Amino acid sequence: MKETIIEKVKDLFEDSRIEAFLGLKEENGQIGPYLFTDPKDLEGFSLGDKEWPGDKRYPLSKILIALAQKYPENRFGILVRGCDERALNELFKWNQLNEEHVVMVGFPCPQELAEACECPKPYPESLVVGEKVKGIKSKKVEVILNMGMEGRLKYWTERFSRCIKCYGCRNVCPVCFCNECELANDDLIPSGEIPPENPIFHLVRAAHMAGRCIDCGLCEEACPVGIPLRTLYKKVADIVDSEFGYRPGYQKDQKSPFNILGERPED
Amino acid sequence: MTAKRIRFLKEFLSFSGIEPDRLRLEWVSSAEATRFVEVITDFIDQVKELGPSPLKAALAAQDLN
Amino acid sequence: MTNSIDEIKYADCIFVIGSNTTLAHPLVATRIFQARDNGARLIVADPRKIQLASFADLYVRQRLGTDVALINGMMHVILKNGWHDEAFIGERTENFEELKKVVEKYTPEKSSEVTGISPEDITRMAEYYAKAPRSTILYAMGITQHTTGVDNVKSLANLSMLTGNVGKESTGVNPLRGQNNVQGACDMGGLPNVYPGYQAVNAVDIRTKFEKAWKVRLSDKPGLTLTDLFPAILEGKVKALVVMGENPLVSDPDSHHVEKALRALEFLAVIDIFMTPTAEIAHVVLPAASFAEKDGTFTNTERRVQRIRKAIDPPGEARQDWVIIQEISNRVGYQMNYSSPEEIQNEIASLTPSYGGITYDRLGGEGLCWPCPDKEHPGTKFLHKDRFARGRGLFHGIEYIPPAESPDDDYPFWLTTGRVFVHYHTGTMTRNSPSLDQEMREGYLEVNPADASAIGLKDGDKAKIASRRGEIISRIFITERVDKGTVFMSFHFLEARANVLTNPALDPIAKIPEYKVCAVRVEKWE
Ligand code: SF4
Ligand code: SF4
Repeated sequence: MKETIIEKVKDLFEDSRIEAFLGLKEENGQIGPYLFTDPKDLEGFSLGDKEWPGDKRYPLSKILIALAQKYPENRFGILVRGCDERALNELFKWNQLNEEHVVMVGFPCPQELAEACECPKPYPESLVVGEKVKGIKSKKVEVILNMGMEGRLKYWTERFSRCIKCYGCRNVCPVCFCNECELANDDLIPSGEIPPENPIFHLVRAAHMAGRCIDCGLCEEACPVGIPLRTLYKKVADIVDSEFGYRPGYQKDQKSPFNILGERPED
Repeated sequence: MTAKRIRFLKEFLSFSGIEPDRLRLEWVSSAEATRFVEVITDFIDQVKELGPSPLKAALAAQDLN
Repeated sequence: MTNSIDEIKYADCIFVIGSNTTLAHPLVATRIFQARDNGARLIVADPRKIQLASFADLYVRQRLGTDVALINGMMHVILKNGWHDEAFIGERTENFEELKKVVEKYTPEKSSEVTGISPEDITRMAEYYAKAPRSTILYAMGITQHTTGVDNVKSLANLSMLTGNVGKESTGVNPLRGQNNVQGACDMGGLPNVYPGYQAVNAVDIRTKFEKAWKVRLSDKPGLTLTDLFPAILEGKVKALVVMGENPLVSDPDSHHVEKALRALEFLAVIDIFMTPTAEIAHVVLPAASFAEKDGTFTNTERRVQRIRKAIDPPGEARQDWVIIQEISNRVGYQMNYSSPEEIQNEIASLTPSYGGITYDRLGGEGLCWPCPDKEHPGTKFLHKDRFARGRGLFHGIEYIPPAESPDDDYPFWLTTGRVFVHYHTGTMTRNSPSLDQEMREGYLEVNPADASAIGLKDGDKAKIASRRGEIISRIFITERVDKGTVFMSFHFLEARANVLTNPALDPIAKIPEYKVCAVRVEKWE
């Protein structure tokens, strides 16, 4: 799989369709994001499998925003899994990236990872290699629903109380891109205390993810204290879907219906 | 749109373990003073009936202050 | 740490004492939460009701500086109920009788009188810790920054040996070290009495080894500890000082005294990445490179030696530390000609048995934990597996000694110091970060609601806090986090320097000052 992708990227360079390729590279026993500007560098190219498949994922699309701002004229190739593609689709809609300047090089996640991740769509549309893997339906939202009202409150209170306000969840999120973050708004959430006000901090973030979260799970992976953030946002996505008929990241041409707290109510 | 948002919030609150009846959406025009009072009184009654927010107790149980 | 960080998640009982783990060591806290989610028991002992306390199966609030009495009380209960590990004690330890004799006196009732923790809770702590198959102890500065710091640590070691909870996976006595590389600095002989790898300066064979390697005559006398240094300056015994990555003007106890000493120096040079208050009064300031601007290694709290790699060039005239040291050395008459940090690492390996097998070619990925004596050695996950460094583990019978200063009529409050979650040490780095600064711009004094109302203070009011050494003004924050009669303050802020107040009384062996306990007076300030 890796070789095919490398060939594909080399072609992109050769055909002058891109000036640089954002992917992963293994160096000194570590895997990290890397901007390949020369096809010769592709030696150390990695798909992010270290100890198990896909254990080294990074929000490449978010890194691409920063690169695109710095080099607005250039065209970039980018390595994408299903979740990365969904993130990019949203970022195009929110004008964070120019679709014309981005070439996605997609590969599917192995079934094993899809299961572990409970990913509904573990492959991108822009597959250049491999097969479409079966999506998995997550049970996690149901488990929490079954706890009952009191159980849920107790569960979330306990989990949210662990928060150390490291902002890892926000910083890793590919679709968190506001210039001014409401989480740092002192009037909404008093600064200088951990845990940050419970549950406001987490509900504010969740509400802001409505119509945006593409369910990549990076936030939950980054959270040092084990708060099941992804499950919380999964529920948010479910409600948005049933109320607005919209699943972020899936339909490329459908406009995002709303930004739940950002704009003024119109009716 | 607003109605949808409120429905969103209610279900979201419920998932977080907070009774959705603590949130209500009503349409009242500036000319309907009596109705405004009615709506507010009714809502106050409703919230009173629900009793103190369970959040406070949950936070106390988690022993954080 | 005797054991590695990841092992914590497989422990059955975790005893956290004197460590505000979620705030100061979040990735250790990660493992605590994982262990807890797997069903482990958590005991937290801290004079302040820290975040972790609300997740504990048992949280106890000991009076400041009473840790020895608490641990002795636990050991008393363990012995009385036969929960100790006789086989381990017989095979691996000595001097058990002395411990028994001392601990005999610390009934839960007596221990309770000193610590303020109920006898029932002391008994439960003992039971949880002793009866779990694998119990681990995590501690930090709350244990060490006392005049009885060494006693406290020895008591924890007693507890772990008594129950056989050392030398095994997911057990041990684990100091959580604060800085990313404080372990490395100590390993490299950043202490007055040892060469790299804790080799004593006054051992002849060791001194000869280093003299041969470095081709220079070396002193056989230990140097001064940091806390002995300031009086020595004032006595005229020390005339010049080079300070590297430290800010003693804010970080050391009894700041006024420190300032007087630093100003009395004939020559003061400071090497730092920012202009610190100490640098402000220096004769020469040498700009250093930050972590992203240099090559080398850091050794973390679990003895893991990891490579760091230069990502960007140091700005302006800043240079890597090893270059600065080499340049100074060459100018004061001892030639150094290292061409890279790797060359230095090879020298470390050749002179330091515990680092003997640690070379750059082996430091890819996760790095190596010392002891790693040779090229083939895989590194050491946990210490003391089959034997202790000295052979048998030595029990110490340790009596409780009260802190050097206790409240009285003039200074009726206990003051303890520590950190807040956004700032680090004297804030030279964190207060330069806009996002961290916006999270917290000034320090505050934590006061219990009952005390606040007795003094007539409202939340956010300003108070004057005075000790025998000086006084400062600070806003107050009313919270149940501190007990009645105790106030807490962080030491990050120059404007309200907690260390103006703290007591420079030292532990007789480690010479660490009693930052965690002193007596103060709190008054309204307008
Ligand atoms: S799963 Fe988390 S990190 Fe991923 S898009 Fe949603 S909120 Fe952001
Ligand atoms: S990553 Fe976890 S601990 Fe950090 S701010 Fe987000 S929820 Fe809190």
